[in-house]
Amino acid sequence: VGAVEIGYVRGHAVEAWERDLIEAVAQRLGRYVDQVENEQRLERQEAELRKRLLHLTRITTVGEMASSIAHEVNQPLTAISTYAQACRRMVDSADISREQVTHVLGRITEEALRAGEIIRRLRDLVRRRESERKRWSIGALILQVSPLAKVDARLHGVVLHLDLEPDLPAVVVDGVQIQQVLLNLIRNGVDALEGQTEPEPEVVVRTRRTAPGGIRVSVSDCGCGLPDAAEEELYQPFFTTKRDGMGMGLSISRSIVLMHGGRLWFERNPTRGTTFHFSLPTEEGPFNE
Amino acid sequence: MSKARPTVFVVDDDPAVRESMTLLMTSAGLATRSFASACEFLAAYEDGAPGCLVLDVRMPGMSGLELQEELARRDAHLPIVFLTAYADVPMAVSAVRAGALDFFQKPVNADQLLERVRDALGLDAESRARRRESEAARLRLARLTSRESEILELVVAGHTNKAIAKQLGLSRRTVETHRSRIMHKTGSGSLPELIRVVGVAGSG
Repeated sequence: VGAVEIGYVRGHAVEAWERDLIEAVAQRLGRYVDQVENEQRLERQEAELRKRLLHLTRITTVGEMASSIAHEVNQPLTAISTYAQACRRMVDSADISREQVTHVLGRITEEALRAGEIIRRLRDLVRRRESERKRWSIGALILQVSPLAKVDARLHGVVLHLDLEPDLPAVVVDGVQIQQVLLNLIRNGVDALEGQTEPEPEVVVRTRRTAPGGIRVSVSDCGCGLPDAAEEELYQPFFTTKRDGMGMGLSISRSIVLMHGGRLWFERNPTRGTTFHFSLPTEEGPFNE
Repeated sequence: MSKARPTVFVVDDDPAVRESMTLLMTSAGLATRSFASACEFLAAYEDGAPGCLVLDVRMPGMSGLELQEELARRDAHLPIVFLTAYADVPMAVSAVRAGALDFFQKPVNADQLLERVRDALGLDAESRARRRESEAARLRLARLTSRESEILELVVAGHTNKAIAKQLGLSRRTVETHRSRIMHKTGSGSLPELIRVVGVAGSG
């Protein structure tokens, strides 16, 4: 940077003042190019950092669910091992028919596939990846991630209900990132219900069309509600009301939704608990909420 | 007391775990019933039915430990073998302290589990027999009049008829009459037998 090629427009030598002017322009141009390159480098770094942070928080969310997931994989393993040991005992004592053996082997296979499926979903969530936007049905994204979320909820004594409006227009999003937002909001809901004495505490995930050109996803709990003071700091990084939370979930979730042209906000429920909403533009048309 | 066949009650929210556990118990010739939740079990369990529980610790709704508490509150004495997905030491300690027989980590070694389940069924049969005996002894003691009870207490405390007569202001002969009625009503042939009836009635 810094070299300027001068074209002769007139048939005479460059005069000193002209040379000075050209030099000044060249210098300024050089500085400008430097600056642009710098900005681009910063942007690249920022994008890389954001990608890592997204990955990190995703891993953290999954980490918070680790014991639930371990439990969920352990159940099919327990069934497999128990089926096999029972079957061996019965074969040893010739106390089993061919049909029964076939049945048990079938069940063992099913359980192994079930364990494999849980691990596959988990791997999809924690894999490092480039951001990739595709056409998605929001319902499909929710249904994909709900088995993991349901397990986590169930083991905290919470029931996860899905109330999905059928035939919603498609959204163009990074599926894993949106699932990250969903998991995060559901986990928050489940945590808010900690120590709840009601017989069937529940978290409800609801999707609705918002006219025109948008959809809204809402995650409601009937939990302890947010402390008043939490409101302002809620989306700040490292703000948390949880004992072992990192405090990145909502902050990241909100920036993911923003990057997708949507909005994330919350409401205190009239009776009790909190509802978090996020909106996304659909591919149908202009997004006016 | 129910005369039902001792049953292994399996409570686990996972259908495949339930089915495989049932198969395992069947392979050992044990009668089994399985339930998807603690509530389902409580609704179906008839008080006093003999057997033991194979119970998952962590279930939605009422947990295994809560079921253990509830059974204790109802004075149902089913021995419990816990299954857990984790080596959760504090949980295991509190369960065993509350009377659980043992704790197995999932996936379980079937032979060890079956051994403990058989132990549990044996213990249950023993404690049932003990409680039956104790109940019978209490019924016999309940037939005594208040004067007879008073005398029984002194007899068991080692006082002679003479001392008892003096203490209660009765004739020795009256005390003797009471005493033979006590022996008769409690079905005791000797002093040691009488003492045993009183001891058994006070236990269980």
